[in-house]
This record gives sequence, structure tokens and C-alpha cells, in this order.
Amino acid sequence: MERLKSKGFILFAAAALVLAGVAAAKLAQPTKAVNPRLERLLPADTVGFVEVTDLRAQALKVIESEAWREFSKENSEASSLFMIGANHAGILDASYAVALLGVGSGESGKPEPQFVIVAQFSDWEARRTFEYRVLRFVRDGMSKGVEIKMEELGDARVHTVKRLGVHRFTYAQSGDLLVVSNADAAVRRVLDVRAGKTPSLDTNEKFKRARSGSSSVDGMFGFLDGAALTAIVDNMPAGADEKAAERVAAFRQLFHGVGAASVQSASFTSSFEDGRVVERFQLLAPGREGVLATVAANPPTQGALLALVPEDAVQAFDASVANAPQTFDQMLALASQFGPRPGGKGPEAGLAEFTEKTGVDFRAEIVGALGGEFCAAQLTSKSSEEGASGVLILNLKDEQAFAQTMAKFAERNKRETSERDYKGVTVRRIAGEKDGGLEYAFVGGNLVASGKAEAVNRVIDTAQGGRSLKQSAAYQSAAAQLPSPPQFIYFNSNVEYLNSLGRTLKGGEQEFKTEGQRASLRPSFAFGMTREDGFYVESRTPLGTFPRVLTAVSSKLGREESKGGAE
Amino acid sequence: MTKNILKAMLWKEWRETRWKWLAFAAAFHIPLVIAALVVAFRESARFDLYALSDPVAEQVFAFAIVFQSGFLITAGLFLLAFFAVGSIGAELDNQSMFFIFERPVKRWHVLLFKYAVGAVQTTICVGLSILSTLATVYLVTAAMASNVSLAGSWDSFVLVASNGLRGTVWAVVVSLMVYSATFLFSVWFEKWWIAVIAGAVSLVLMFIYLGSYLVDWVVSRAMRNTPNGEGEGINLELYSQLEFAPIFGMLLIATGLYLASQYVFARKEMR
Repeated sequence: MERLKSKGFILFAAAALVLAGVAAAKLAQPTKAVNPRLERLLPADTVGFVEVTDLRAQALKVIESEAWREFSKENSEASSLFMIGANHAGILDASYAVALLGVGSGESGKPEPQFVIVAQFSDWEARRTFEYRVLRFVRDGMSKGVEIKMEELGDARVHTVKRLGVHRFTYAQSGDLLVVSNADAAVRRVLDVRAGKTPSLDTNEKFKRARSGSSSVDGMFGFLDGAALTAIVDNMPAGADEKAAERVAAFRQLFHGVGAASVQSASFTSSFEDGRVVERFQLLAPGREGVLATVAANPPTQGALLALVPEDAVQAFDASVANAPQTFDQMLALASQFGPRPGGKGPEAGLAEFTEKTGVDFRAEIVGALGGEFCAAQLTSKSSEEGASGVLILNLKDEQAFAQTMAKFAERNKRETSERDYKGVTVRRIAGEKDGGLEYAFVGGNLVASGKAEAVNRVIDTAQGGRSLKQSAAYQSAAAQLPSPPQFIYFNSNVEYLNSLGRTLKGGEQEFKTEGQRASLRPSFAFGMTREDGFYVESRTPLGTFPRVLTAVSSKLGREESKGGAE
Repeated sequence: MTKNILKAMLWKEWRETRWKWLAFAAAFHIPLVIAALVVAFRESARFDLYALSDPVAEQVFAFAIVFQSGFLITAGLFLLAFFAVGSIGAELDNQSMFFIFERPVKRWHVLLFKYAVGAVQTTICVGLSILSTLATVYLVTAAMASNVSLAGSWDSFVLVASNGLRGTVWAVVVSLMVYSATFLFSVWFEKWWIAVIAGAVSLVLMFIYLGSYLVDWVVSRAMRNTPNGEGEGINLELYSQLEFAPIFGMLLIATGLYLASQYVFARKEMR
């Protein structure tokens, strides 16, 4: 005990405590990249932007996710080295925003979109790493004739990169911030916002509404200002010649016709919840017009066709198509306004040709025959040799009329037809032009069609008492989160997810399995619905869009860096 | 010399050196402290650790023993010299040695005990530090990495540890030689700081003439991965390959240095 009271021991203990305290403080201190709110650096009239918050945190969440853990069991070494490679590619220590600031006039005087990438790094060292590894690679890639002009602007250094006298891109750096754009003016606009000379996007009321309406913004956040986009379209220059002017005018009409001009704003979020990714997309359009209004007026789907899909389906998509004829008419009318392309046919002429060749009136006999619901599913095959097969299930207004349409099509095209009976249901077959063909049957007023007989048989089995996807515990559990009846539903059992992830990541230095991986991941589930103020889409998937983009980008940069190193 | 005297002398040596030895043992894990600081302060290091999986953990374990071995045969030898220099010199300097001479023991017995206890302490400390470092890395990795488990990385740990035993042999032999040299200086010079300078100078000379061979025998070959110097990572098969001639030579030098210490001590005039 006496030794514990000695001066040396006390000094040593105090030094150790101070060191531990500094370490704890350092660890507890959030970096700038953690919560950067990059909208504060973008101009108030920004048309749209997508922000990825703290890439390192997202990468850690990917590692922690249910899917990556399962993937790591099958690809233990590769998954680990892949993440370590991403870590050393120099891109993780930052938050990024990609924004469209508007349309300006380029060097040639032609209008050109002004895109800007804003990267907030955790510290200046991370910024320098990124700058050296990535920007240098871009500059070196352009090799000969590259000229870089540097200019001081406040505390920022603005670099303008030209190749053979033509402006390529501009980037500015200041401390731990990096701004890159295809337009010099865009970089200066961002720097003006940063200096407080012009208002930032976070003062934009529409943006504030979209931001506050997002339940989570810790992963990825996207925003589109509908009015700003409409202004760009409306003020688009007419073009050099008459044809170009016509095309611009037609596009403008299409834009307004589909109702895009009635969209106030769109927002998108992607974040991790409970080890998987939740993505939410919201379109604010309370006064919707055109095609958008027709689609919005579609009644919700009953999901009745999902009761015909076998329980072990790989994936299924079910949607309400009650307003399909009206939507088709509106789209056709809009497409007609474009007129025929040079050497091509207009949409009306195209439909007439379809009728002449097939003997079927596409509008009246196919689109017009549709009932209220549509379903497409991918089924697992009972035999391991055959892969998964697709099946289409269509709710029909008049089964007999549609049967005649199919028969008329076969007769007109001189296709061989045959019939067989499967459990009391007549299954017809129309032979293909060369091989294959279409098997179809009518089950409870619905058309069931597939290229494979087994798929049609399995739907008939399900209709006659087999376990359906709708009854399955996985689907029931996923559907329990529906806040109100949706207009479409997407379900994926994710049995193939790991193979698909392996295919996404392959091509780099690491070898990933792309076949034979089976994991019991929770299913993916997505739905979309109309709300009073617009549309809402939500999905829950193992890794969502964002982490796959992240991993793909990391992989790309890691590869390029190693190539550079090898040279 | 009776058994009781033997026990008493052992006990005395242990009592006198145990705290110093403990500090010495802790100092020999400085690479672990450096690694801990890097992990604590560098997010990218924490990320790497977190992203590890069982198969990749083997490379981390291999790196740990190579790094620790590198530390032992370089900076570690200076630490060792600092430890060994207090063996005799301090007792001669403060004249406490005369109390031992009052006992019914021969002069060479005193030096033998001091040498033996110090050598055992040194070699245990140096030799075990490779395995204790590896064990710590194994436990920390299993605790922090998302896809590393104790069971899953056990085979890698055993493989690396078994290879690490060769590094232990090298570290023990080298440390014994350096200990013996510094022990001789400790006997020779009564002022401890003169012995420290002499030890440091002899170490520097050793590095000049033997350093590149030593580093090559113990760590460099493994880092070059293949005999041609190609490939990435660490090749455990090439780590600390046992070579009879240098090992035997160093043991001979250590013995010679010990005998020289006895010779000097026997003829030393103490006042």
C-alpha cells in the first residue's frame, strides 16, 4: 500500500488518467462530417440535391447490417478486405452532397446544367487525402494539355482546370471543405453562401417542410424543388433551329401534361433501422394535374392476386391498375404531341400497325380489358435444374372477351395452339415464333400467363387451396406495417439477395460468391400510396440503394488507386 | 552453501528486483500501447479493426508478432540494457554488496545468483512478450471486430503462436547475449551511468556489424513474403527461421561474457 502512496506512482497514475481523458474526449467529440447539414452551403434556389451523411458511419452500419453479416459468413475474407479497401480509398471520412444549382450559360454560350459536389471532411487531413487520391486521378486521367489556374477567394483556393484551353471543371478547397463543379460560377455561388453573402437552401420554406417531414436524415437525404425545376423547363432556350424549337416545346408540353409542374417538392431519405435500410420517398403535389392526377386517383390495390401467388415465390409485385385506360389515353395524347421522329412513326400509327399485324386492338382489347389489379411474380422452380420462372396475373373485366383476343392473336399470327387440363382448369398454349411459347389459363376471372407450364400449374395449385404468399407469415409480418391501403406492393423473399450482392460487388480485387448462397434474411417490402398532399413510397430492404452505391463507389476508387499505384 | 542460504539469496534477489522487473515487463509491451493509442485516436484504424473477419485476423496476428519481434531486437534491447545495468553496479555503488559478503557464500556464487536471476527474468520477459502480445491482440480483435470470434480465429491464433515460438527463441538468445554484455559492464563499472553508456555504445556497435543480419533473420524475410521479395502480407514460414550457427554463436558469446564477468568480479577491488 505504501508504494501506492509514493510520489512516482501518483504522478504516473495522474498521467495515465489524463491520457485516458484525452482519448475519451477525442472519441466523444463528433467530427464535422457527422452532422454537416450541407444544405447550409447550397444556394436557396438550388433545384435539387442528394446528401450522404458521414460515409464512414454508413459503412459501419453496412457492416453491422443483417445482410452484410450473412454475406460475411459466405465471403468472410473478401467482405472484410473489401471494407478495409474502402476505408483506405480515402473517401469515407466525409459527408457529400451532389446538387443541381440551375442552368447557366457555358463557355460556348449554350445553356448547361450547373452541378456541384460539396464534400465536408472530418478534418483537413482527410480532405487532402481525398484531393490527392481522387482529384489527382481525375486530372492525371486527362493527361496532356492540362492547365490549372489557382485563385484565392476569401479563405478558399479556387482551382480552374482546363484541358487544351477548354474548361473541364473547377474545384475550391478551404480547410476541411471541398467544392467541385463542372461550372466555375457554381463553385463561386457555393462560396458566396458559405461567406454569408447569399441565403442558403435551409432558408427555403419548401426545403424546410421537406426536411421536417422526413422522419430520419442520418443516412441519405434528397430534395427536389418542383417550382425551380418547372422554371428551368419553362425558361429553357428554344434552340437553334425550328426542329429543336419544336422538340423543346413538345418536351415542355409533356412536362406539364404529366403533371410534373404541379409537384411542389420531392424528398427522399435512406437510413438504417433495425439492421436494414428504410427508404422513403415523398412527392408533395396537393394540386396535382395531368397524368399525375389520374394515377393518384387510382384506388388502392386489394392485393387479391397475391392470394394466387405461391408461398415460396422469390418476389412479387402487385399494383392497382384501375385507371390504366385513362392513363394510357393521356400518355398517348401527350406522346402524339411530340409527333413522329424523323424516319419513325407516331404513337397512333404505331398502334394501328400493331392492330394490323396482330389483329388485336391494343387500347380496347388489352388495356381496356384490364380489371382493377395486376401482379407479376417470380416463382422458385421445384426442379433445381430450371431456374426461377416469371408469371403474370391480370385481373380482367371480361374473361371470355380476353380469351377471344388471345385466340384471335394466335390465329392471325398462325401460331400453333394446344390445350391441356390441369386439375380441372384448361391451360392453353400459344407456340412461340421460333421456340418457347406462352402458357395461360383463366383462374377466377384472372389471366395467369407464363413462359413455363410449371409456373401456371403452381398458381392453379395455390388457387385450389395451396399456401399463398398472402397467407405466409413473412408477408403478413411485412404487410402489418402498412399505414393504409397502398396502390402497389412489392415483396421479395431475399433468398437470392446474397448472390445478387456478390454480383454487384464482383469485378474488383476481391472474389465474391455469386451462386449457391442461401440466407434467411427478412424479406424486402415496399409500398406506395396516394395521400392528400401527394404520393408516398416506403421500402425496407437489406441494404437499400445507398449502401450498394457506396460499396460500388468505394470499390471503383479503390481499384483506380491501386492501378495508379501499380503504374 | 546450505539450502537456506540459497533460498535467502533467491528471495533477496526477487524482493529487490520484482517491481523493476514488472515495469520492465510492461515496457516490453510498448507496441501494444502504441497500437491502443492508434486505435483510440484514428477512426480509420478502428474501422479496419471492426471490419476484420476470421480469415483476415491471421494477417493481423502475424503482423503483431512481427512488429513485436522487431521491437524486441531493436528498441527493446536498449530497454534490456537499462534493466541489466542495475544488477551489480548499484550494489557496488551504494556498498550494500558488503552485507552479502558477510554471509557464508563465495564471491562467484553471489555473481552467479545475480546473473541467473536477472537472465531468467530477462528471457522470460522478452520471450513471453511475443506470446502475450499475440494473446492480447487475439482477445481484443475478437472483442471488437464484428466478424471475428474466439472460436473462429482460434486456428489462426494457434498457427501464428506456434510460428511465434521461433521468434521467441531468437528473442531469448539475442536478449541473453545483450544482457550478458551489459551485466559485464555493470560488474566492471561501479557508476551505473558509465555502464549504461558502455552498454549503449556496445549495442550501437552490435547494430552496425550485426543489425542487418539480425533484422533479416528475425523479421525481414517474413515481410518480404517470398524469398524473391515478391507478394504482399506476411509469410509466417519465413518468419524467424531457426539458424544454428548464429544462435549457437550468440549463446557462446553470452557464456563468454558471463565468464568474463566472473573474472572481473573475482579480481575486483571493492572499498
